[in-house]
Amino acid sequence: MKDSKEIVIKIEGLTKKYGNFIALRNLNLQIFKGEIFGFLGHNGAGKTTTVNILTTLLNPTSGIATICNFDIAKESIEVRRRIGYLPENVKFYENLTAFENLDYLAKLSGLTKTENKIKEVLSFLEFTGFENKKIGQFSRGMKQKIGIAQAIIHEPEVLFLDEPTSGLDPFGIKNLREIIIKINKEKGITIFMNTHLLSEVSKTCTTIGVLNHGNLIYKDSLENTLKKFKDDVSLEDIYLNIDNNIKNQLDNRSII
Amino acid sequence: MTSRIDIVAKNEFKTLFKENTFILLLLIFILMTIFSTYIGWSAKNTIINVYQETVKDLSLKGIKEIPPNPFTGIPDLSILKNMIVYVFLIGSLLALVIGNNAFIRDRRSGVLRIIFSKFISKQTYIFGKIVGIFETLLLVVFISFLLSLFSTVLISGHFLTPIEILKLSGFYAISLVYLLIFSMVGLYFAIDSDGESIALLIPVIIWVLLTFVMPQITSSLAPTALLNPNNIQAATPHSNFFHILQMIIKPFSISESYKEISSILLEANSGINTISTLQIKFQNAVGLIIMFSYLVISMFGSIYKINKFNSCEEELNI
Repeated sequence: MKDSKEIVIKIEGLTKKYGNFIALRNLNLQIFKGEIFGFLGHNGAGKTTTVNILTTLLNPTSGIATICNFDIAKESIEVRRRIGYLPENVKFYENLTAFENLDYLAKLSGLTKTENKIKEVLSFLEFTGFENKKIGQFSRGMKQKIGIAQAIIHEPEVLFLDEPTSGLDPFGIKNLREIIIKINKEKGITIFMNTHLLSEVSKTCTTIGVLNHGNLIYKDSLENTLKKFKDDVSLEDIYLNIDNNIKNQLDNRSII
Repeated sequence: MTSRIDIVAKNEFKTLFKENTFILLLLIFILMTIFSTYIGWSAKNTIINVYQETVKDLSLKGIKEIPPNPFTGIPDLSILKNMIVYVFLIGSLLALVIGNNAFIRDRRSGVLRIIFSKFISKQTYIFGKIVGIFETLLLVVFISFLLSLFSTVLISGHFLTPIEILKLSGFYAISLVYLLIFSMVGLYFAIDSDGESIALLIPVIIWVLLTFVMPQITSSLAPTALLNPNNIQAATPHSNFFHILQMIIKPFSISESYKEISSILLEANSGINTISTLQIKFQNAVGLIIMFSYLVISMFGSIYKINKFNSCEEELNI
């Protein structure tokens, strides 16, 4: 069934080395249109390196990756036109207002008339009335919403979120989770989300992948994963099972 | 591509005018511009008063040979000569901060990851920054030009001739080039350095070197020439060592070239040149070429460096 779906992100043999340290080892991955892909892994597993490469911020040592059929290395500008990116610990110009920050970033995303777009996106995120306040006065959760606003304002085809709930309180996490699902459902944007929080994945994602020391050790839909590991109490147990290299117990087709 | 450059340039311009350091340095520079005319006028008046007192005194003593008024034949523009010092001292520091902040601000705020994931290349981004810096400095220089023009007219009591306005414009044009050099040096090290402190420290050392050390060596042991735009006082001692040193270093001493070209434009040295006109023309042409070379090298250095810049490691060490 998946074969009939459009591939939005295609990664083949992606490797990133920092001297002798291999941050990412021969990564092969396909993400389909409309998916919310949760990229799991402990700290230092290579999740951020993968996102940095896919957002064209970093060059891979070897391997190729395409986003919407555009090569990330050779057609980086075309790739950037089609992606939105929310880095971990998103930051802005603190001296400028939310509107001024969004106006600048929206124009860099290729939009010409930004005022209505900014109003529209802030209304979509249910975050109005703060446009003229300086970002320096914003809380972490508010900055995160502006971060999402700048990432989706140009209606990208793929949205990359790097640890989006990092540093947020439980209310902020819940709110952000709802926003992510809303973006995916209402705007049809494919989402690639780095996280190490399993609660986030279980409530948000449609597909999961597990990265361990630069190696992708598992990828399947959340539904199949829960079926396969039905004996495990929670997704946390499943993750620990996978991470402890129990891949031999898995069906060969689901092992990458 | 042009519109992207314009977007970055406009944002640079807007952000700068919200920064306290920039506003403070700009205000100091503007105040100094106003004061320079006043100081020039005040100094001229004091000397004229002393001259008139002396003339009165000499007349009373029955002395018939009265020395000429020292300001006879000295053009009105010369009262602005202090501006030369303010540009190469305060102006260059202001320019250095503008250039340095243009990139350090983005690194410090952490927006570079977002910016470089947008529909803009690193080259376009840095071109935008350079245009923004140019526009800011152009505004600073233009404000200074207008203030100099109005204050000179106000103080001298008559309008400047078209030639004088042209010379004043020439002075500010050369000042803009001089300031741009320092802003590009500031920008280059903001991209190249790992830490925020070192990113500012290195350009400041270069500023000290160009503003104080090199003129000190080339004006060799004539300390009054260091800040004074009148190059008549810059006579070198009769020593082969200093002459050779001066010959080698002077062409690269852009602050001296700037001082000399500016003092010619503001007619601060009229009638008191110690070297031939041809030699002055040649030296200043070389000085001008060297100034532009500094500008081109530092500008292309920044463009080269941005291509090597890793936006994933943007976090600055303080």
